[in-house]
Amino acid sequence: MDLHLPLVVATPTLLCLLAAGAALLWPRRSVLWPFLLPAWGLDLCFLGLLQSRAELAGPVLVWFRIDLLGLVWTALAGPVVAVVLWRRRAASAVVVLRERPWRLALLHALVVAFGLVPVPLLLAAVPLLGIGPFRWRFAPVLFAAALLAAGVAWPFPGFADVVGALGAVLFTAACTPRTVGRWPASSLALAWAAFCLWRAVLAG
Amino acid sequence: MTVLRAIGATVRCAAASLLIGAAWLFLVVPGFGFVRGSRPRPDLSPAPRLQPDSRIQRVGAIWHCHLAGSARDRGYACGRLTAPMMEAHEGELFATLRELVPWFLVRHAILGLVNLNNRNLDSYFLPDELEAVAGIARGYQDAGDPNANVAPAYGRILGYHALHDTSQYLIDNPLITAPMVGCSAVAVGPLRSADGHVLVGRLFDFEGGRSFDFDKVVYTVAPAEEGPQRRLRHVHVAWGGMHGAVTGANEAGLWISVNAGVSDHFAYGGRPLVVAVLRALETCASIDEAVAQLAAQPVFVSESVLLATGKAAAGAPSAVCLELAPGHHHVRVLEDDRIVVTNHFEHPGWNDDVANANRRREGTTTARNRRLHELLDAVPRHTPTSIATMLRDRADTGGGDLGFGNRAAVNAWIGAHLVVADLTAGVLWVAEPRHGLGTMRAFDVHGPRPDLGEIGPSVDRELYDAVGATWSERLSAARRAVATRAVDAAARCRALIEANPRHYEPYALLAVVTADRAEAVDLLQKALERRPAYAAERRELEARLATSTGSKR
Repeated sequence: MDLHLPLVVATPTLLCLLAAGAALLWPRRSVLWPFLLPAWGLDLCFLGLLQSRAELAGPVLVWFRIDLLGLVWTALAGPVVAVVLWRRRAASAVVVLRERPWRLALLHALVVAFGLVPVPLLLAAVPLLGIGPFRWRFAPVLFAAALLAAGVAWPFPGFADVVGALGAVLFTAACTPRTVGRWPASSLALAWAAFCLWRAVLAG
Repeated sequence: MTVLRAIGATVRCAAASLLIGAAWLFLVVPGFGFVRGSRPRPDLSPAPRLQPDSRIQRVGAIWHCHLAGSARDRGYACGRLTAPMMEAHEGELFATLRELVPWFLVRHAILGLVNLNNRNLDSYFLPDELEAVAGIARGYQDAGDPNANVAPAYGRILGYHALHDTSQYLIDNPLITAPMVGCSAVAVGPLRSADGHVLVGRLFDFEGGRSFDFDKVVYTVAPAEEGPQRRLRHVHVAWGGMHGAVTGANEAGLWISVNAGVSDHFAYGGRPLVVAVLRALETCASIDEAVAQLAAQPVFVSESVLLATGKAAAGAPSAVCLELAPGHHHVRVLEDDRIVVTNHFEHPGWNDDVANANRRREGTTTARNRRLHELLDAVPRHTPTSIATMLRDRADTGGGDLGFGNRAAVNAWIGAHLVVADLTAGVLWVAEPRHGLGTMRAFDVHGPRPDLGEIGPSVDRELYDAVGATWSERLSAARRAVATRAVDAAARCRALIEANPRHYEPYALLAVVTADRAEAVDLLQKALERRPAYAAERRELEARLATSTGSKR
C-alpha cells in the first residue's frame, strides 16, 4: 500500500528532523533554512486544507488522529511552553539553541509535528509580551501588517490561510532574527504572508 | 591535521548538501504538488441519487452499465455501480506504476509532479462534467474507497480522466519505461461494404492492467435535458468510473474513437480528450459538428480522432480522421472509400513535423498501417466479421508469420477492447476478453441487442488460452533472468522459443546468455529474420551481430 498522503502530511516534520541531521553534519545555522522554510510553508498549507478543503481533511484526520480536541490541546501547549521558557530564563535557552542549530531544528520538528500553526502562533506572542531576549522591535509592526492582511482577506473563504499567514509572520518574527538577521527575517515573513494571502484569494 | 579537518568539513558539507537536495526532490516538491493538486469537491447538494433506470449487468463476459438522468446522477450511479471495477483498475494501475518505478520515493516524486501539473485540470472541465466527476467520487466513496491514502478521491478521479493524455507524454520520456502505443482503427464506406453500410472498427491498446480488458464496461447513456443544448443518447466502451469516451457512437449514427498520436506541438495542461469526445458524442449529430467542436478544444497532446457516420449527407465523406494537436489540426478524409488510422498523422500538413516523422520511422505504426491497407484491399466488400478479423490479425506485411505478441502486428494481444460497428444500422459489436479475441456481443444506444447476433471468437482464441495468456509474464521473467544472468535464464529463453518460435525476442535474449559464440551469431541472425518490432531493436541486434561476428573471427 502506497501511503502518499500520510507522507505528504508528515513532510513538514520529516523536513525538520532532516534539518536537525543536516545541522549535525554541517553545524551552521544556514543549513537549516532550506528545510525549515518549506516545512513551514507546507504546514500552513495543511492548516488551510484542514479547514477549507474538506476532501483532504478526511484522510488526514483518519491517519493522524488530529481532531478538534487535538488542536485545542496543541493551542494550550503554546502558553505552557512560553511559561517554561520564561521560568528557566529564556535567555540561556536561546543561547543554547543558537549555538546548537540541530536543537533548534528539533524544536521546530516538535512544534510542527504536534502544533501545526497554533503553537508557533502562541509562541510568537512571547515577544509581544516583552520577555527577555525574544523582544524585537519589529514584531509589533509585523503583527499590525498581519492583522491588516487578515482584515483584507477576511471575506474570502480561505480564512484559514490568513490565520496561517499570521502564524508565519509572528513565528518568523520570534525566531529568525536571532539566526539569520532582521532583513532576511522581515523578507521571509512578508513573503509568507503574501503567499498565504494569495492562496486565500485563489480559494475565494 | 589541518588538511584532514578541511577534508572532513568538505565531506560534511557535501553530505548536508545531498540531504538538502534529496529532501527537496523527494519531499518538498512532491508535497507542494500534492497540496496544489488537491481541490474542493463541487457542492453536490441536493445529494445525488441512484436513478431507477441506472443499472449494471453482465452480458456474456462484458459489463453493461446503463446511466440515466442528470450529469451528477449519472456520475453518482457510475461511481456506485462500477466501484468494484474501479478498485480493480486502480489496483492494477498502482501495480503497473510500482513495476515501472520500483522505488516508493521516486513514485512519490512523480505523483507529486503529476499533481502539480494537474493543479488547474478542473478549469478545463465544464460545470456539469465536474459534477459528474464529483458524483463518481461520491459514489466510489459511498462504496468504500480503498485508496484514500493515496490522494482524495475527487482529485484522483479527475486525474484519471487525463490519464490517456498524460500517459502519452510519458511514452517518449527517457526516465520511464512506458508501454508503447498500438491502437489501430479502420473505416469503410458504402462502396466497400457488403450491404452498402458504413462499417468501422477499432482495437484499443492500453496496458494499464488486465482489468481494463477483463472488466471493460459498455456504457449506454440516456442524458436528461440540461439547458438549451440537445443531449443525444450514446453508447461507448470504456472502464469503471469514466466520464469520458475513447470509443463510442450516438443515436445520430456518429462514431468517434481516438488513437494516440504525436507531433511537435505540446502543452503540459489542457482539456482531456476523452472528456471532449464524450461531450461530442452527447451533443453532435454530424461529422462537421464534431470536427468543429473537437478542433476548438484546448487539448494538450496529439491524437488521431476517427469520426464516421452512417447518415452522411449526399457528397459528404462518411468518415474522416481529425489529426489534432495543441493549437493545430488537419482533417484527412477517406480515400477510395476507406481509411486507416494507427498512431501517426498522415495529412500532408504534418510533413515538416519532426516528432511525427520520428514516430513513423521508429515505431510500429507504419507496419500496422501497411498491413491494414493490405487486409482492406484483400476483401472487395467488407462485413462486420471481416473488419473484426482484420483487427485480430497478427501477421507481418505480406502475410509473414510473426508468431504472437509482436508489437508490429495489428493485434499484439495487448488490446483492452475491440469494437466493430455498423453505423448505418446503429449497432456495435464489442469483443469479450481477451484482447479482442472473444465473442463479440451486439449493443445499440439503448443496451444489449442479442437479437442482432454475435461475431464469433477469433481462431486464435485457443492458442491464446494455451500459451498466449502467460506470454507477457514469461517474457518479462526471461528479460529479468537475462539481465541478472540468472542460472535459469537460458532455459527460460529456450522455453519461450518452443512456445512461440516465430517471435524474435527470445532468440535475442538467449544470444545474451549463451556461452557459445557461434550459437550467439546464429541466434542473432534468427532474431533479425523474425522482424524486430522497433527500428531501435533492429539496430541494436545488428550492432550486436556485427560485434559477435567480429569477435568470432
